[in-house]
Amino acid sequence: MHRKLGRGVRRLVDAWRSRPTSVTIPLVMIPIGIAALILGENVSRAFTNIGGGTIIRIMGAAMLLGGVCVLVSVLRSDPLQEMIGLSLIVFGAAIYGCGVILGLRVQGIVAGMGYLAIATGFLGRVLMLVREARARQRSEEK
Amino acid sequence: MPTLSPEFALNVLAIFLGGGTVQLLIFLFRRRAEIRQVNTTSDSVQVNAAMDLVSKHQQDGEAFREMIKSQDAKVSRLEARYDTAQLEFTQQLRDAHAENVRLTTRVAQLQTDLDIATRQIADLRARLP
Repeated sequence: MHRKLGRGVRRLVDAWRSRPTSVTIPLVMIPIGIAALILGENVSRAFTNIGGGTIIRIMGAAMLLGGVCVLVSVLRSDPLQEMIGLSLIVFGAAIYGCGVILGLRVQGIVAGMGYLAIATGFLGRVLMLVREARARQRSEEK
Repeated sequence: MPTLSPEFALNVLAIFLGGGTVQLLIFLFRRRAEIRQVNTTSDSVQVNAAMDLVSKHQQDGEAFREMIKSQDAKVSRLEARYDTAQLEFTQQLRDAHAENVRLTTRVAQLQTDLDIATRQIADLRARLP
């Protein structure tokens, strides 16, 4: 049990050293998702303004699920799981970014664009991994 | 013109984004076999490509080492065969030399015998009336 825990921690530290961005943000999405699931629209002024309680719970569920997927993928080094988790986080972050900009208008530009940037960046990572998988497949077929 | 309510806009956006995400997930599931091969331990594709190249070169080096080893074995085998052939050849040469000497002696003996016989014939012819 202790050894398993130690191995998991070491994998996490390795991942943090080799690819900090694509590990930190998904892991932080887990508490964010839990908070959004529990508090609903009260977690964000923008969603309170709009009244998007269902949407933000869907977003929270996607972020929580995505974060857990990425965490498990780091522990088991499974690329497919990481890409699924990142896709879910792209979905959640894009919804939150759009919601903040729609709900707060100009006042939501900073937070909203930040979240849209997170979504774009992770979408880019997923596409990069798909491209790499395809290139590897092609080089193996040769 | 009726203003679009933000909630409605957000719902529409969420539906679109959800559809896109589902499509992306389906795409990922279809290609799961090749995606599982990807090395995600680094943010850089170049590093992975370089690692692949290095491992390929290591394999090449291993193959060349094997080849050199087999060639070495072949060379030493040929050397051993050459040595034994040389030994056999020397032995045969010695045998042939001995045979030659023996035959020379025999020829000399026979020559002597022939000389004696010739002389005897000449003597007998002279004695004939």
